[in-house]
Amino acid sequence: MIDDRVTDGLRRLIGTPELVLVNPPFAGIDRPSYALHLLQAIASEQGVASRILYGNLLLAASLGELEYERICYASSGALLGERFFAATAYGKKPTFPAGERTGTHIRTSRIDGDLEKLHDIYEQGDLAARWCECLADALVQSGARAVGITTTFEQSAACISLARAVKQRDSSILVLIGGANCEGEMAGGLARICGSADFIFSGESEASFRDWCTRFAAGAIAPPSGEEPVIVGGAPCQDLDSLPLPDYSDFYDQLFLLLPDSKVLASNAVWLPFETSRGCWWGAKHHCTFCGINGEGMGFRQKDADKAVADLARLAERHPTNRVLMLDNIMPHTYFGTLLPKLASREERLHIFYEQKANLDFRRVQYLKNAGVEVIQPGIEALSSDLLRHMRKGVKAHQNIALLRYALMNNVFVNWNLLHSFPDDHLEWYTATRDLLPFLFHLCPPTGVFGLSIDRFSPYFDLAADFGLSEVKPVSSYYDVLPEGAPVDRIAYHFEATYRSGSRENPAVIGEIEALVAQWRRAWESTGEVPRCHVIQIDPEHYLLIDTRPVAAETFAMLTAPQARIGLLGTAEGGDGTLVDWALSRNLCLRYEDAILPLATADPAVYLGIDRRAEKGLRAFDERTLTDPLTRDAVRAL
Amino acid sequence: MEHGRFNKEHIEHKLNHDEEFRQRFLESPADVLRSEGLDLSDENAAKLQQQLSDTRGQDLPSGASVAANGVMISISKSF
Repeated sequence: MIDDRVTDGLRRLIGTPELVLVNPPFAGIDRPSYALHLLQAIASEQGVASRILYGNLLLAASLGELEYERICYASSGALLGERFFAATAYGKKPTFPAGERTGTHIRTSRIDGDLEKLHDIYEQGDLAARWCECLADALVQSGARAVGITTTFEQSAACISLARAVKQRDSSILVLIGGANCEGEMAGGLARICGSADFIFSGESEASFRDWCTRFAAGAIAPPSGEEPVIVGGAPCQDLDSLPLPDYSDFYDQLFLLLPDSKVLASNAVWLPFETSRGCWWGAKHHCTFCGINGEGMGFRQKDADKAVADLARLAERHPTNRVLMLDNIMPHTYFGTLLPKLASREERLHIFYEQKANLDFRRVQYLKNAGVEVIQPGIEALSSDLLRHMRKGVKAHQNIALLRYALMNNVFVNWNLLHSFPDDHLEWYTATRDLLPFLFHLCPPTGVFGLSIDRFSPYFDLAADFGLSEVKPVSSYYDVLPEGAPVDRIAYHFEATYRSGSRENPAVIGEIEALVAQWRRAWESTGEVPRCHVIQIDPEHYLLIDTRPVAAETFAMLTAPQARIGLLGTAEGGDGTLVDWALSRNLCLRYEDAILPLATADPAVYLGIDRRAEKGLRAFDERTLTDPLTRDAVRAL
Repeated sequence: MEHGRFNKEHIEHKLNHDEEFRQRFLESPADVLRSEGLDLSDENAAKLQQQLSDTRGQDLPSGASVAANGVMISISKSF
């Protein structure tokens, strides 16, 4: 609850800074804001004392952690977070979305089955207003001369509510807004509905914010004279090594104050955000058709590996967790020879989340694991090569499946999902996927099955006509939430359109895929053992297969070395056709897209022992990748 | 090496259809295989035990932080 104890505690923590930067709902509560702490460090370099105020933690403390997360991780298209603050931001109370699925709304597992409870929370009414009053009072009482509020995804309505409340209390306080929702044309759209703000920082803003702080410290910043805020244009940062290291102390202080019994604290589940690169080296060459996450900063830039390792070490020393959330859209590929071996040779091990391209071979997955990269998001998206080509993903289905196997063998968790409803897609791509899924139940399951969202900055948005899209318009939820006359098409990030789509026109097949994925996830979420298709070596001549997938012929099978080989590699020495037939009959291999896919897993040493060619390949890979002899020795010693 | 009486089809059958045998095997596979006639070295026995205990699989994190198109909700790089 928001009570006097909480507000007094917050005021004490904030102190009397010149600048307060606010992270409003609905940002996740298990991580600090990298952007705000980076700006805090930049402000400090310019002599501006600042604090970060975690408005999201305050609301989570009032609403309850579980209910907060239900809104935070609800379907993007439903805009539940924006609906929550619409009354305080715009004076309108939108209806709670009815039914399980509306329009192109996208759902996540956390929200399933909880819509009624959320509806009750919305009906309770005034929590958003009380949050706003409490925070605005604390900000004004701190004596800060400027307040900056960040907005990404569903933080705009809370941001606008707070900006207005601050200005109503003290119009001399400068209000700054920034974040991904201010990228490009969106800044102008936001400016139209947020007259309380003085400055909107658009795009990557380290340099422009640094300049602003310099002038602010000199007392040279005046509020804009017009009715709308001034848009301060940014530019992609070209020297990431020049950026200071964030200090997340404000986050921890407020987490302990506001959510002392949080499961995030109890399970030490805080992620420390860090970045080693910006942009996307793949997207700069072949922009995936649906991807809009890079905005105007697609050009790839990366940090020096030595600097990154040193910064990571300092970050982990400073805070009580070893969990690092890499914000990179894709890991720099040169890091296989630089950053990863250096991390692997450190005594203090990190637990790292890192986005990857999916075409990783077994050795690269080992490099990741050895370096502490234990959760990856490789952008799998589909298990049909035709659909992947359609998306311009640059990988084939067999590579995605191989990666899932390599990751399991090395105990690396894969965060992935299946997408559907693409323009001009073909139903048979999805029926093939549907038929494939039961063979894969022993591998890490997808998060879910999601319909395409046409996002701003993606090729589907920017080049809509080229892809056969017409009538591109913001998803209907924006009209529910935003005020009358708002430039919705300039503010929105998620859009819908008219186009032909084999999968969208045949929802029954997608329903079947969803049901299979739900079954797959249930098998992994149950308290029993997860399904397996695992080869165990007894001795050089004998192997044991344990197969508990739904498609297993039998649970146990004693295998010869050639049988184990074909289950793990999909090839038989000498091209023995009878072995291939045997493996197919046991569902140890699958004929898919004109290739034989091996499906079994094994302990890494067993896998590499069977794949002699891989062993030779490893040595060659190490020679190519690890040009530094000391690093090479360190990796070999692992 | 394999003794004359080691019969992999027999073991396979018992693993699939004899619950008591299966439990004994999962608890101490080397002992069971040796009693069935397989000449298993101590080194291979240890490796076998290790592999069996390593096959529990991964834990699935509860929930997932995904937004549109499955993009993991992350922190803006711009202010």
